[in-house]
Amino acid sequence: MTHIKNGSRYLLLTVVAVALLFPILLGIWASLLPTKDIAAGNFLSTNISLNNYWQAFVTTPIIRYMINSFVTAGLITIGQLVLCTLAAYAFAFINFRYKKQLFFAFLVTMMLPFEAQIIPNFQTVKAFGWLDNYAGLTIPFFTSAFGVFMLRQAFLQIPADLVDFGNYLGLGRLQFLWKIAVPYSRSMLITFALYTFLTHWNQYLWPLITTFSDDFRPVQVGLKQLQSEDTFANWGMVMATAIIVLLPTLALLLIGQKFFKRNLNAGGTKG
Amino acid sequence: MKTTYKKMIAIVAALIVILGLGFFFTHQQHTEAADNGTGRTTITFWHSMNGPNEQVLENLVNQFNKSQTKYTIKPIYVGSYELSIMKYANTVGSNVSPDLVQSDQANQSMMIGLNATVPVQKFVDRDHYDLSQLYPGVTAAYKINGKLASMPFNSSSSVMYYNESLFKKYGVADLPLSPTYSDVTKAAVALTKKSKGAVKGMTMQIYGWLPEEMVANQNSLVVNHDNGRKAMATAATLNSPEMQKSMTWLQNVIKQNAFENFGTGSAAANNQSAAFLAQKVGIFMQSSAMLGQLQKNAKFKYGVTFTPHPDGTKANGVAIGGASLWITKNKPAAVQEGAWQFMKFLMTPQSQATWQLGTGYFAVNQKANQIQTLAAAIKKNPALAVPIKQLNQGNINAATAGAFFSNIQEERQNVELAMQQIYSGADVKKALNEAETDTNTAIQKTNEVSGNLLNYKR
Amino acid sequence: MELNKELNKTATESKSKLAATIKENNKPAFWFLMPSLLILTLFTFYPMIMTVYNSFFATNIRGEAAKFVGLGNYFSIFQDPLFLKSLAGTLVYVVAFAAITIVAGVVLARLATMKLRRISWFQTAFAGTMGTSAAAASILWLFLFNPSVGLASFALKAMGMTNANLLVDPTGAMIVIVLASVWMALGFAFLILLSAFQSVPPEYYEVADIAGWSQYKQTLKITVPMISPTLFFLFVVEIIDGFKMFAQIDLITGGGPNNATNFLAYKIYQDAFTFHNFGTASAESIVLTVIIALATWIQFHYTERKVYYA
Repeated sequence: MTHIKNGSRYLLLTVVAVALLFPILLGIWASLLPTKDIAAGNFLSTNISLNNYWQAFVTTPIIRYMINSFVTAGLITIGQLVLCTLAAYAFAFINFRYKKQLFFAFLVTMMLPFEAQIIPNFQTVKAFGWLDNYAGLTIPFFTSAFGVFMLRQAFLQIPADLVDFGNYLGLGRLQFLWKIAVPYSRSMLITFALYTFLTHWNQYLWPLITTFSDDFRPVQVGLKQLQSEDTFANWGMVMATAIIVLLPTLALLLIGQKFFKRNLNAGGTKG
Repeated sequence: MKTTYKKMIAIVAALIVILGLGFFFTHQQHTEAADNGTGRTTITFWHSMNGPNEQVLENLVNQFNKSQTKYTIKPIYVGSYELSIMKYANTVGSNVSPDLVQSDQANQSMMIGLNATVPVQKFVDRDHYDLSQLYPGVTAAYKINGKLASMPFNSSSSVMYYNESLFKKYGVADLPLSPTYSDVTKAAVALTKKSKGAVKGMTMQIYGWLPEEMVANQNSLVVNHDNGRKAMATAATLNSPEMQKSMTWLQNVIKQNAFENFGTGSAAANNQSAAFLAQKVGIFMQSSAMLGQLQKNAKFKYGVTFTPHPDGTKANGVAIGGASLWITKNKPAAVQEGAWQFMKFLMTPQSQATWQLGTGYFAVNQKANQIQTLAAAIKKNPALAVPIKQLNQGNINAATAGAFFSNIQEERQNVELAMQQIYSGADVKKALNEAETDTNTAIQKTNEVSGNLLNYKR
Repeated sequence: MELNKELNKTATESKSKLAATIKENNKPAFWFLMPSLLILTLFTFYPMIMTVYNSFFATNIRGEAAKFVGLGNYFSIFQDPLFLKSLAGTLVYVVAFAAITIVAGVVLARLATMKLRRISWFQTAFAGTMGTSAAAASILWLFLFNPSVGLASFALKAMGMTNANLLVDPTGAMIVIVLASVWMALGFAFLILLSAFQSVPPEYYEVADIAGWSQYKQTLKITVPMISPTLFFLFVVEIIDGFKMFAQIDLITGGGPNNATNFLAYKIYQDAFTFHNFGTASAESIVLTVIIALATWIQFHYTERKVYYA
């Protein structure tokens, strides 16, 4: 009896999983079919090949787009790791004047949506000559209030004994940070790094308005560029490019999922 | 504590130095883009040619680059004409501002108002370039106050395409060269009926340029003051009897179930072409620039006619569509010179013939028809000569000069909205009235704030 | 007397020592905070002030603030039917998006907490949409609903719909956008809810089993109330994300048809970068900011976020 019940449960789970992942599965399937078959509605064709991927890599700048995304997301992640750690340390371990007010200032920035600031930010970046440039794509995001809060929370969880021990050893601030605080909060830092990388790999609006050439365009905006540059919807290749864009994030998630499951709820908002 | 403090300062200082260096180097890269190390001057060229047309353009660019050693043209696709002027306006004076830009006929008023370009007439006068080799109907559209502001490059007009093979198959008579509205309606209805719905008679994309062409063909204006050509436009005339006639005609075809609505946007344009090529739709109106793609991809015989006109009237002619090339101000002399040389190259009969053969835009140089390849192609497929015929047979007046004002984006959006409503069965007068009122509001708002920039001598 | 004096002396001494420590702490703290503060000032505080400033002007076609209009922009946008339509559409979208995501997430979490072997595989699968970028997701959904080659369009046609091109119909376009957005957000929502589900003590369920309650009743009457703080938190987070939504509109509908999907974030972009109405766009940005700031404040204040209490 339980077998049948379990069997039907597994079936239900599988159906739901397939339904949920259907758009991705369909995209993968279509990326393996020639555009001719797709246009004719022949989805059960057996002409499976990696042709579309080959075409995408050879005829479009998708490799450059991926590199751009990787560099910008990477630079931002490094920047945030450094700057947010420093700021979180200050809030967690130092008592200073105006601490409450500065804390509130950071808090306030989380309430102000980036989407509402794009006009002045665009003009700032333009004035600096940072348009169509890694600088313009990364520097505005080198810090994040959400990161500061998340890491502060992690630092606050360091047992007082450890802090005292550091003092006893005569460790300077940076030494304490580097030798004790960071290793202790390693899991949280990794989660944060993965999350930041992912968020900025997926960024769309800002790169859309600040990049103008294939040299600096990241891959999300690249998708739009490719879609508008093509006139006859080469569906096979379009799907291949979408899957190429998806794969790194899917892979990253599979690897990082245990960190996410553990730390997302504890850390705070999505930001 | 004190050593930590010093270390902190060191780190922050290092960060700032790195950032500063980064800023400095990347900034240098852009301002020195003119010399890419091979001794050639690089000229960035923003264009909106996509699909197969992009290939043809890049071939021409390569040809030019190989033919001399002074300049390298770097072509960059920046999206639709709409996106292109938006990006251009946003980057005036910045490090990414392009040296040469392709901007469409509709946005001329805005381009001149931006005051960011050098009138091409300056180079024409300096080199005594013979403008008369270009069609007067084309240069007329791009002259302001008698001076050529930009060099016409890809010119098109609206034409009607129909599937001759399908017509033959279902026993529908071919359309005449200059069809009336009822000619088209009859053909569309017959096609739909006789194919038992397998083929939808016609479609007209919800694209604001098409209604402009339809009213130009009825010698009617889009905005006042002679379409903005005599003085700065202050009001739109979208609810004119001529516009109503065109819209009512389309609604009529829809009511008879012989119409397919593909919506709006680039996705709609693609779907429409795909449907025509898949022989699911028999007639559609679009830029003559589609000829190139149809040539390559149509597996059936297709016909091309003039833009239709209402029964009992004479076709007035349509406005030139397409785009022209503009040279940006405040760039090094070598860069501007290179841009001008490239322009001249693109205007030669050979280049224009290659361009027309590859894309379907018609050659603006009158001598291009004598180039062997083009002449042979026209002989083989007379449809290629239809856009030029429409130009030559049309009258030269304010209506065919085309609308000249800077709120054309809003106007087209409002007209597209009206078309959506009309296609869904709304009252034509009401929908057009709404479009006109909204456009007038936009025009007034812009004139109030930018009037000093736009009120130049025409 | 002497004791008092002693105490006072110690008190003043330690006060001055404390003051000295704090002073000594100010400098390093400043350096630790300075880089972040610099970036935040330049790219968050300054733009916010500039947006407010810009909203009081009408800008010309070159993007320069040309004419001072005071609160004129605010008055005109609230009288502009297009803006009001955009606002209304955004509200409908946001609520639908948040509600459907939560409900679907709860269902998924319920399914994924069944006591079966290999349930973790399904948990991974259910979180699979997390991290799909808006651009890639939009392409996938565009493909699904394409009138010529989309499987969804085929299905709709087979079910008898006359116009299977949902994207040409205002309501249809809204449906597709909501679906695509929910799909993108489900992965994350599922993970949060899964962890919440797992935090409910199993004793409650054991008692309910004994009492003969069905799974459905248990979920409704035990799980949901117990995880209601998480539900509320997630609801507010999704609302905030909904207001910021942009990429799906840019890629799938372009704001149409008939401005049916021209939601706030997209309208701001259009007014600023297509129509060069920086003044109007800035005013609209302030409206968006107020809405999101309010929602975020609610999120901070009413959800059990121990993070933010010093």
